[in-house]
Amino acid sequence: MKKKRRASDIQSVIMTVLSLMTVITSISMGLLLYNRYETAMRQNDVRDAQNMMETIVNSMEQYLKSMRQISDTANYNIIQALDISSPEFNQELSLLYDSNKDKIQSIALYDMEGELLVAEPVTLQKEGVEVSRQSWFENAKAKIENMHFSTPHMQDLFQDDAKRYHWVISLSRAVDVIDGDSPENGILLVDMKYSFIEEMMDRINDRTRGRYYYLCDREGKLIYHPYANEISNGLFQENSVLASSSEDGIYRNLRSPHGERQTMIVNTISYTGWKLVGVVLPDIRTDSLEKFRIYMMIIVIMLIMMLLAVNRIVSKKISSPILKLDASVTAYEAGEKPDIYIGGSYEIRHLGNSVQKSYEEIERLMKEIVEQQNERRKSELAALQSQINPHFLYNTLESITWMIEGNRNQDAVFMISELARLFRISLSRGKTIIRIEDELQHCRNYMNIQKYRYKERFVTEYDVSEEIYPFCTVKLILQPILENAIYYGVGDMDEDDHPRILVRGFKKEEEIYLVVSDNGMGMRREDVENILTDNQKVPKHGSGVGLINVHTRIQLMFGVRYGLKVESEPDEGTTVTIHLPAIPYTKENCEILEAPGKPPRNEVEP
Amino acid sequence: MKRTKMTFLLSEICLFILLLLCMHLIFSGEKPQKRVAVIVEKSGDEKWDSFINGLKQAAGIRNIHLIICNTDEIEDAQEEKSLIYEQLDNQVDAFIVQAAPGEDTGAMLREIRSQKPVLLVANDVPKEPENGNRTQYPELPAVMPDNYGMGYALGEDLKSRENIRGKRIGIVGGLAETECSRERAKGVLDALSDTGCEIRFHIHTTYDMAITEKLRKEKAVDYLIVLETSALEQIAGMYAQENGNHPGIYGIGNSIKCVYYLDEAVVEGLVAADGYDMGYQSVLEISGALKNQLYTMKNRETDYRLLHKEDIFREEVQQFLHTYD
Repeated sequence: MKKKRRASDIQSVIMTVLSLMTVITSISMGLLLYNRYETAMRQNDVRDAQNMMETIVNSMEQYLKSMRQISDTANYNIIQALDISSPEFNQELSLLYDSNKDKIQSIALYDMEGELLVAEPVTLQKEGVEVSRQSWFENAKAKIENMHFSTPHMQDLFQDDAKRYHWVISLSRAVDVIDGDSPENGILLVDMKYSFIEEMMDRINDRTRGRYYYLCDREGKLIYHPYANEISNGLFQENSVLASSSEDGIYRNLRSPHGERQTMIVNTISYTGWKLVGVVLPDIRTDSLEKFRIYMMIIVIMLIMMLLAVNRIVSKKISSPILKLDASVTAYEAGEKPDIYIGGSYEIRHLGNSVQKSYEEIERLMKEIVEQQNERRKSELAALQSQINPHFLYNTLESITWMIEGNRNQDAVFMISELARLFRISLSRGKTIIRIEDELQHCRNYMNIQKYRYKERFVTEYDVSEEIYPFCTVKLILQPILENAIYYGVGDMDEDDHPRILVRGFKKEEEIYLVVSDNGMGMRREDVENILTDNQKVPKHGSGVGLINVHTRIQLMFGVRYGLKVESEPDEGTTVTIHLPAIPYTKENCEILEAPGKPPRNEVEP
Repeated sequence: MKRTKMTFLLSEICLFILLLLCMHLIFSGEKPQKRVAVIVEKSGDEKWDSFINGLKQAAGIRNIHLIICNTDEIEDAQEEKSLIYEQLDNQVDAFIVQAAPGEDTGAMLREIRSQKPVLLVANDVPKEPENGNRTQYPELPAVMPDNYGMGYALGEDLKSRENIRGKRIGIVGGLAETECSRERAKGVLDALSDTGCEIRFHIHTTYDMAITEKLRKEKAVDYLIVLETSALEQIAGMYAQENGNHPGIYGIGNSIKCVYYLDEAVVEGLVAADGYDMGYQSVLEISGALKNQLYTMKNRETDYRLLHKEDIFREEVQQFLHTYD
């Protein structure tokens, strides 16, 4: 079952929306700034690497140039200038070696068959070494016009008393050797110390900086790599072939063999065609970047904290008048009578005023309804009181007494029965609405009693359509009219004038009319005009109070459209028309009509 | 209303805590490097060169400060313990140790391991008995080559290159009380079993007497199997100087000197452990334990190579030997 969501208060909603916007904006801003800084750092890092590489390339080229110079010196100044068998030859070679021994491991001269002619430092050649099959020798022999740089390798030529191997890069070339009178060809080998290059590269390779540099030849064979051992153990991979085949430049977003994106910078070293490659890794973890990341976090957190506080103040400012208004309305609903809060912005002020006015209007209407109810009760009480008019009761009981004394017991019984019925309908178990049939019955009872009292001096005729019997009416509306017709109309007339009261009842469209006419004395025009007004100062014809009471009660029950209409001509008679809505007498309709605060007009089902 | 206020206060408190944390990170500065002491016997010996190269390379990557203790022979557990305690006073965070000879080394190192991470290299300690008096201390992880496998490979190499049926063979092992010596010797003996050769002697290096002197006292043999680097260097050196006939030497050695004797054909078959890998892997393991206290260091077996004279200048062997420099 779906859980009903609890409605949030306005402050929460405002606060949540503002907070979300604040957080999203702050974080986005922080990320953008961080990204900008990181990009700048990366670019800076690449620039640094590039500068560093240029320096190293220069140093490397200087070094290689010096090696070439050593080789050239050995070739042009010693080998081609001096006889190999002369003591100066060895002396000069020794001098050359001594002056460069920090950079070179050895200088050796071989004939074209690979036999050692001379070497510096003077040492024994290892037994069984096949020099002619070593790559540096083969290369020099194959291309005699060139100088050849080998890749680093363990020197496999001379014996070492320390039982050690030397890592060297061999620079070999074909040379012309003077041996007595016959010039011969030979191969000059200058073995450069690899440690010199290694140290140079080691110095620039700082593993914590997220970048490294390596050296490879034109085939991609590694000459130096900071992770060379890891590569040989399979712990690291390097795409040196790609670097060797690349032109000098910066290559961004390359996919490394490990799947990471990296930037590769390639520089070619002169004389050798070697490539110095700088690799800038994507996950630069430099201190400054780490620190900047934390600084950005601090700024973002502080911004969020501050904006949250501002949001709270703003949301409180906006919601406070609404909440106060809500609180006063809630208190009003709970039955208290607080002043409706009017404050805050114009709109909320306007809302408060409207609510205040609405409540005032409701109160006024409530008061009106209560007053109407009171009025109705008063009218009904007055009507009831008129039923037990002591004079009427006295006269009726006197008549009954006379009847009994005159042994007219049947008439007395009839009178008492009629009187009893009259009161029964008058009371109607406290109801205000009764059927028209009962009201007519009540009217007949009353007229039967009055006929006895007036010794049947007037005639009462009924012309009532049975169609109207099952409709609603306010009780005791005919009796006061009939009473007036008797007292002020036909009661004092001579029998010769044929006094007559006619009661008619009919339905016209959705309305019911009960008409009481008499041919009595009638009323003057001004009396007719004032008879239904509730002004005590206006003199009324007879007891107009009864008619006003009936008129008021009908209007309170059914609305101002309904009520009485009096028509009279002096000496002609009077006609009083009761106008009612045609509301069927049902339990529901009765309950609606009798309910306090009911609609004043016939808004019930017709 | 109250809920909004609570949420606001909680958010502000959380953010404030986060802020303090960031401030702490900013002002705490650089974390001091973790210090790892490396205690191996005769740490200056050439046989440790590749191991130390591996240690240094991995330490550079993992930002570990290595303290390679300058040691001579470590004769027993007590001596090793005093070295370890010296380093404990030196605020060392972890140890990479070669187990000293002796049966009580294991217990001593296990006790140390309850205080600081300890990783064995090169030489293991005897395993605790499966059922019996187990100590309350955890087992010691070790990074080293398969010593049994090395011995076995050497024996197999001798078998494959020479007809040894009826030949006399002498075995020179490392210190008798070390686990690696036992394992290597076991490997050799297993490889040579059922070959019809005669093992004429099986001697061990000792602290009090040079192995060459001991060897001179033994009967002549056709082949000599040397299972320890220093012993191999000394014996090969001795025969290289004599320039006379000498038995065919097969050995286990982790130094360039041993390779050089192989190149000079004094040694005929050489099994060389990948010391670089041993050093590298041991730092990776120990740094894992230092970074995360829940990390369990694992035993790692490192590689070894069987070399002959003709292999030395092959490119991949040169690469391998470069780590020995």
